[in-house]
Amino acid sequence: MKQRHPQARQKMSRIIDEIGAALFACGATEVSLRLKKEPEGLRLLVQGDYTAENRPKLERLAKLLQPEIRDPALAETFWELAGADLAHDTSELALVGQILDGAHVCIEDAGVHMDLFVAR
Amino acid sequence: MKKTAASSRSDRQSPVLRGVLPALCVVLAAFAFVSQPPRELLHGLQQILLSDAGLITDPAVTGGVGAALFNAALVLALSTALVYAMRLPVTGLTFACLFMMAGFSLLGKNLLNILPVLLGGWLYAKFQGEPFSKYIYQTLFSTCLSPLVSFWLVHLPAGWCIPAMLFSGVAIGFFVPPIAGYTVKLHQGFDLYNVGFAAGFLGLGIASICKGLGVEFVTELQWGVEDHETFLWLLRVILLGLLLAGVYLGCRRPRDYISLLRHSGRSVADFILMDGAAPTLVNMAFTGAIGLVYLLALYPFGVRLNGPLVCCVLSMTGFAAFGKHPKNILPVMAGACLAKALLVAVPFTAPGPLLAVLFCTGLAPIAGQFGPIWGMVAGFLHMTIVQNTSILHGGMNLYNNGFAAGLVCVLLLPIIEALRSRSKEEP
Repeated sequence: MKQRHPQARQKMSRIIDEIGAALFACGATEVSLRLKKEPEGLRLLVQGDYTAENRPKLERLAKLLQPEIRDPALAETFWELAGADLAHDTSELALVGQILDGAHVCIEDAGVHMDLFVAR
Repeated sequence: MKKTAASSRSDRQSPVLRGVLPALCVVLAAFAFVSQPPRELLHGLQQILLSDAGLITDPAVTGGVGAALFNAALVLALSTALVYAMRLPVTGLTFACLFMMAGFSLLGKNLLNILPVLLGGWLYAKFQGEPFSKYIYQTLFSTCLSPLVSFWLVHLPAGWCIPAMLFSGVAIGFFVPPIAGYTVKLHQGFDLYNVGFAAGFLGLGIASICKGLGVEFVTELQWGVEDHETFLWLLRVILLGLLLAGVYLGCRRPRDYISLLRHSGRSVADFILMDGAAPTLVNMAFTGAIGLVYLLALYPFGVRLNGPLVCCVLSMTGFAAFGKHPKNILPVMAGACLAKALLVAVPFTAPGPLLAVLFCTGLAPIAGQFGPIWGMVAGFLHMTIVQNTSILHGGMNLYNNGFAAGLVCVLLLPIIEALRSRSKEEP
């Protein structure tokens, strides 16, 4: 029986690529990432700033990361596409939203906070 | 962080959305029973199940149009039942996959030859320690190599054909998902028919081994021309039904739909997840209608709707929920038509080019991402390359155009990127 842990790490690695690029595309000058290994999976805590004119883009990102519907079959089929660093490409951010097993994004005036989770 | 169960996700979806695929099963079955008396229909179905299925086989010629549609209804019903039983939500990928199952049941898949492949996919999931629901779409797409299963049924003696069918089908279902996971990185989501690309390589390997052992895959061309009216009414009902469903769900003004056209179509472009069900269903109707109008425009030249051509339209329709839309398919089709006009060795209305003009829309993301000119170049290349790929897998890969599209991506994308980065460097 194959181990699932390496895939969770690979997926999280792709997510880090995408989120970093997406935040820089929203005008971030500083992005902080904390990656925690928990019994159930990997948790990524993200903090970053953004420029005011990019707030709509950031809100769109938040929506894509917190979809109403998550399809595990879609995520399994296409997760290898994540991480190509095409930050302008909505489809990759939508894919990240599908890969995640949980997400909470909070946009404040001072910055954005994200709590992203990938299960083992 | 709470993990929402798939069942609660699927339960929250509109009943109209979840009813589209069962309704399609009913429509296919209704047309089947109207087209042929039940006894003839069952006999025809038996003929389809027990015949060769490689490219290009029209099951309407093998067993009659009613039997072909009944086969499509059964395959779609089984596929839909599997997806719904796993409580998966209906997404654009669901429509893409299941419309392909229905469509390609009019070009070679049947209820018998897909079963060993499904078993192979299930075994792969077990081997990975994951639920089968994670691999269901890849497994269903993998049935594009199911003609190989039928080949052993037809050409081996009784004692050998069942083990050969099982072994080959299980191997297909087991190996295509990991190959597809690899090939998607090669084309980066620009070939919507990724499993066709993957299956082409597996088919190439199998055909090469078999040829070395003295077994050659040869299929007779079967191309029907008698059932145009039946298929025309079928497509009218399907496309109109999709349009009405989309309007009913809320896509009633142009601006409700136009925003969908901004997507390049590159995977993952799941329009249901990104834009909602209503504009997606309308897009499916419009995109399928483009394929249908193209075929009807060739009616004066002797082109008649048949199983394979309806397969093309249904494939376009299904993938209109997962990447295709009128803005990105038209340039690719234009490039393919241009190539078809210039190709001297292949008649304008030959089966291969007819299918290729519609299936080349698997490269729609190239037009969506890089513009209509590159889209036309992709379509042009596709039309030329696809004439030479079927022989590599012996006609056993029904998604031959997906295989060719992947090769176009490998050829064209580096060139596009190199020219784009050069033009960005210049002052």
